[in-house]
Amino acid sequence: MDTNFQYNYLMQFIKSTISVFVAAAFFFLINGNCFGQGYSSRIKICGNSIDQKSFSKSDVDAILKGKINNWRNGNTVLIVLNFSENGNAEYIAKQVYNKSVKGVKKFWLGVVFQGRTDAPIFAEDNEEVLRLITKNKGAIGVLVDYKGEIPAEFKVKITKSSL
Amino acid sequence: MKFNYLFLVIIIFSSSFLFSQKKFQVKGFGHLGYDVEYHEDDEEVDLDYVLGEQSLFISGSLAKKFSYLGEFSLNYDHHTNAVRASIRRARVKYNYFGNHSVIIGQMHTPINYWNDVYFHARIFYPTADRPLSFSYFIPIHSLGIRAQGQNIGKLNFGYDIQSSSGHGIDGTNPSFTSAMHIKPVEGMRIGASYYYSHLKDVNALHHQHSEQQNAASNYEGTLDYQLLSFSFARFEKSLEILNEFSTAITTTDSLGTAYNYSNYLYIGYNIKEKHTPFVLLDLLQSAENDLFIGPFNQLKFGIGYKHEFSPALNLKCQLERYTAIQNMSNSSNQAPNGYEFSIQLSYAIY
Repeated sequence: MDTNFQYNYLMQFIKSTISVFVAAAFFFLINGNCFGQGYSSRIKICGNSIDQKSFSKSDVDAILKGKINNWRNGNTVLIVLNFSENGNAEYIAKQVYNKSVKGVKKFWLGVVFQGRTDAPIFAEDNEEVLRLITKNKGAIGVLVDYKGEIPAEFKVKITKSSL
Repeated sequence: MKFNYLFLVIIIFSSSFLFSQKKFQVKGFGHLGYDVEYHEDDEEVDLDYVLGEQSLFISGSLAKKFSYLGEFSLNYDHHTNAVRASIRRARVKYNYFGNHSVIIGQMHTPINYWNDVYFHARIFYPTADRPLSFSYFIPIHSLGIRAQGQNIGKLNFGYDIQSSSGHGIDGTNPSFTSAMHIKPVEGMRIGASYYYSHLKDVNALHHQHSEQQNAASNYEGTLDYQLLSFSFARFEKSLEILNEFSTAITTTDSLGTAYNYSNYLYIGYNIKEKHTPFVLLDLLQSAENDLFIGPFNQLKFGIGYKHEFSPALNLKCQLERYTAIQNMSNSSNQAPNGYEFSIQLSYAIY
């Protein structure tokens, strides 16, 4: 078998493989999930010494998915989620991550071992989220069905349009 | 063995120190397994319990915008009955602006999706083993400096530009890596990379890597090594796909330029985040005039099943056939023929 034949055979294979995957990539690209709406009224976001008091939902999504490691003020991003087992974990998983609870844990396991960012703190209730927010500069927290008053310095407003 | 004890002592002492710092996190991962291998050429069967790699993973903040990540592993060598300690990753990252960072230390070379995302953690591997290219083409680790950007813009663009020591981290072969990727939708990553290394003495390098012992290991000259890679990964949906394509181009004064190829394809179907049946196809071919791994070709294909008990524990069963690619030459360095059935339990302490 001569070298040219081998080369042609492989190139043929590579060409066909690449075209299949490029086509697949575009197919999945146009079928991607897009979420333009804000969070439900059950969810409240709070933060301590983070850059702004107002974020678009897409910005908060990116932060809560670990896509930003540090705030512009130099503080490290620390994510705190009310991930209690009374249904709040399922609610946050669906609303914020569009995943199951297991999917969220698997997602963070991968991100953390890649060294991309630190794991979030999975708090037991809203009070623990607020306690951790108060204690840690750079922390951003997600509360579910919180009836109390969030201290003014920790309040974060979500706008529907992208910044 | 002295080094192994030293390693353990360092880990024990550093763990208590790091825990007291509170800003550090210590995690771990590992795997155990059982392999049944039928060697067709000599009609023999091997049965092996496998004590897989056990790793400690340490990460934490050093100062504002500075973070540390270390990965240390213990490996049981079945051939020598010895336990080997390795530093897989040890790097300091400075996040100077937004999602842009400079990283110094030992890292995984950002060649392809597998090496950049899975590292040594079998818990993340979609199949029981790495692609064939990892035994021949892929410079897994590198020691140097890297400029990195992540999640930039709507396409979540990422880049890595790295200057480091090359193959085998022997400190003598400088290398350059440039890689980029996009994540257009959640769970999908498309990437490409270019790697260049000038190897001063191929023969010396082969002595460090037993899997590369072959006809080419007698070559004592210099070699220019270029690696082009293309990755497509799609996970977090029912249909999972990973394709890793690499072209290794080697140039020597004596035999000129050789083009070598490899392609690994995984397709799995995730059912209820618990059951994932999958198929794999992996092939590798190096040219007759290649002096890096020598003329060689191999084909591996198989089926498997992954059962996820939790995100931190899974079990993989895999049956594969390995043989030479039909209608290819390279008979001078023929790939072995056989079947392998493996069971692998992977876990992460998280």
